[in-house]
Amino acid sequence: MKFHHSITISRTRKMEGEETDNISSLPEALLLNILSSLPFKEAAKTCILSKKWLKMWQSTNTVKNNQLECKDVEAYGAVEVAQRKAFKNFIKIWITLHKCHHLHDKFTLRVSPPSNCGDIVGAYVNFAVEDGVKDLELDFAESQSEDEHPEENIHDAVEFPRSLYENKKLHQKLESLKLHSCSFAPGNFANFVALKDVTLARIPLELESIRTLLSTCEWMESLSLKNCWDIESFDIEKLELKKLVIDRCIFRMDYIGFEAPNLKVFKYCGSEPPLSEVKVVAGTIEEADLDLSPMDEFDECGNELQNFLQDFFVVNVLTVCSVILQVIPSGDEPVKLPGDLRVRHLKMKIQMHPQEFCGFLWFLNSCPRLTKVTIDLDRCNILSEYEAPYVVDLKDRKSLPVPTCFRSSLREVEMNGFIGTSSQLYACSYFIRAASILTKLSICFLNNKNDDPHTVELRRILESQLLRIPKASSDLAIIIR
Amino acid sequence: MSGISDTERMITLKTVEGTLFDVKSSIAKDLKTVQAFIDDSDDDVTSPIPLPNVFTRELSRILDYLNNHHRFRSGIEKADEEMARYDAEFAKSMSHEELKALILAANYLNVKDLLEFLNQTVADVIQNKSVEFVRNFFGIENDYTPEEEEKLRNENEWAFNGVEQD
Repeated sequence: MKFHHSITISRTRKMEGEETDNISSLPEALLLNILSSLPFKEAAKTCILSKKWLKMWQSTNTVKNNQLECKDVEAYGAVEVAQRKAFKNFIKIWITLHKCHHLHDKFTLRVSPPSNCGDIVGAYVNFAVEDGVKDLELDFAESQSEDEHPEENIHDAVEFPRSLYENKKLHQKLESLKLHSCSFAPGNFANFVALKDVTLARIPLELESIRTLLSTCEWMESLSLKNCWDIESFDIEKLELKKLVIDRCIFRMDYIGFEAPNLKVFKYCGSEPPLSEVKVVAGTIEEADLDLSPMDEFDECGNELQNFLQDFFVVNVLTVCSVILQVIPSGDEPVKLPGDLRVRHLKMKIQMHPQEFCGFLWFLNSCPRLTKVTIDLDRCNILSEYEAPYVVDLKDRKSLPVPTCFRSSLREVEMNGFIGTSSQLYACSYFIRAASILTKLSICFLNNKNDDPHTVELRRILESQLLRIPKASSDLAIIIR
Repeated sequence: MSGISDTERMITLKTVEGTLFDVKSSIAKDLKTVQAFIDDSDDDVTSPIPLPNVFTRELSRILDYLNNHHRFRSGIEKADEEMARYDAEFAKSMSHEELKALILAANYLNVKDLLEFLNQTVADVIQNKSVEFVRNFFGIENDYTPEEEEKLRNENEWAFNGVEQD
C-alpha cells in the first residue's frame, strides 16, 4: 500500500534538546505558502536568506495570463521598477498558490500594494476568481490598529478590478463580498444576483453610494460598514436587510434613520449615541448589540442613549457594554426606563466596576421580562470624569432594589471571565439572595485551566463562600467551572 | 460500503514510538494521507495504520486541533470567537522546535487547514526578525558571498530600508 503523498522526512535527533528538523527540506510549495503569508515587504526580504530562497521568490509558476509584462518601464524610477517587479512576482506566486487551494469557493487577498501596483492587483485578482467564487474578500488596508482614525490612513484606495464587474460566473456565484480600503462603483453590482452579504471597511463613503448599492442589490441580506468615514448620515428610508452592522464609522451628522421590517440583527459601535429614528418590527427583530466603548471620556448623554435604546425596545436579545452602563443613568431617568424593554436575554460586557453599578441596576430594572443574564467580564473602558447620579453599594443588601424580573422571570445567570473581585462576588450574592425563581447560576473562572496552586486555592475559597450565601430560590443550582 | 455509518467507524493509527490512537473516521478524513491509504485498501482497514514519520507528541496535537475544530464547526454562530481563542492558545503553547516538528507532521499527513494555520503562525514568528534569526529557524545555510549579499540588498533597497515596526 502506498501513501498518497509519501514524503520521507529524515529527522535526526543529534543530542538531547538539539533536534535538527530540516524544515528547509520541505517541498517548495510549503515554503512558498509560508512566504505568501508574510506581508509583501517581509516576503521580499527572504531573497537574502539563501540562493534557493532567491529562486523561490523569483520563481514563475504557470500563469495563464501572459499579457502582464511590465508596461511603461521608463515611466517609473529604478526603485519603483524593482519594487513593482518584486510585487508582481510575489503576487503571482501568492495567487497561483491560493487558487490551487481554494478553488471555486473562497478567495481572500490581504495585501497592501505599493502605490504604483494597483493594476497588477486587479489583473491577478481577475485571474484568481475567473471561475467564480462564493466568497470574495479584498483587503488592501495598510495594517494598523482598528482604533486609529481611518482618515489618517492616507494610502489611496485600490480599485475593485473593473473586469470583475463583468464576470458572469461571479454574477451567479458570489454570495459574500468584503472590501477593505477598496473603492468600487456601487451601481455595477446589479447583476450579482446571489450577493447576500456585503462588508465595506476603511473607505470614505457617500450616503448615495450606500443607497445605490442597496437598491441595485435586491437580494442583499446583510450589510456591514466598518471604519468608514465621510458619510453624510445613515438616512435610508426603507431597508430590506436582515442584518445591519455600523462599526466605528464617522458620519458628518450622527443620525441613523431607517425603516427595516425584515431586520433581525442590528449592531452598532461608536463613540456616542447617534440621533436615531429607527423602525423595526417586534417578533422579527431578534438582537441588538450596542457598543460605545470607543467613547473618550464621560459624557452625560443618558437621554440621547435612552432614546436610541428605545428604538430597539422590542428586541429579544440585547448586548450592552461597560460604557453604556456608565452613561445611561446620567439622563432624566437614572433608575429605569419609563417604558419597559421587552428584552429576554441581556448580555453585558462589563468589568463589574463601581462606575457600572448604577447602570447595572438600571438595566435590571428596565427589563421586567428578563429570563437570562450573561455577564462577560473583562477589562473595560472605565471613563474618566465620571459622575454617579446616586450611590450604589452592592455590599448593602437592604439598599438594593429587587427588580421585577427577579421575582417573575429571571431563570438563568451566567458569568464568564470571573476572577473573584469583591464587586464580582457581591454581584453574585445579589442574584443569589434576591432572584427568587432563579434555577441556574453558572460562574466560569477566567483561568479555569490553570493548575497553579494559588489559583486553585482561591477558587476553592470563592466556591465555599458562594455556596454559603442564603438562596432566595430553592431550585437554584450553582455551577462553578 | 459497510452498513455502519461513517461517523461511527474508528481508525487506529500507530506512531513511531508505537503509541496507538483511536480516531473517528470523520476526523481521519482530515488526515488526507491516511484517508488515501484507507481509500486504496480493498478491505476495511482493521489493523493499526503505521505512521513511520509521525511522533506521538505531534499526532496528539494534530488530533487535538482537529477534534476541537470539528466541535466548533458543528456548533452555532458564537463558535468563531471561541475558535480564534483556541487557535491563539494553540499557537502560543508550542516552542519553535515544536512548531517546526508539527509542520513536518501536518505536511506528511496532509492536514490542509492545520497546515495553513501553522504556516501563518510561522510567518508571524519570522516577521520583522533579523536575517540570522530566520536562517537559524529554517536551518538555512547562507551561500552568498559578502559581495553578492551586498549587491542584493542594494538592488532591493526599498525592502530592506523599511521602518521596523514595534
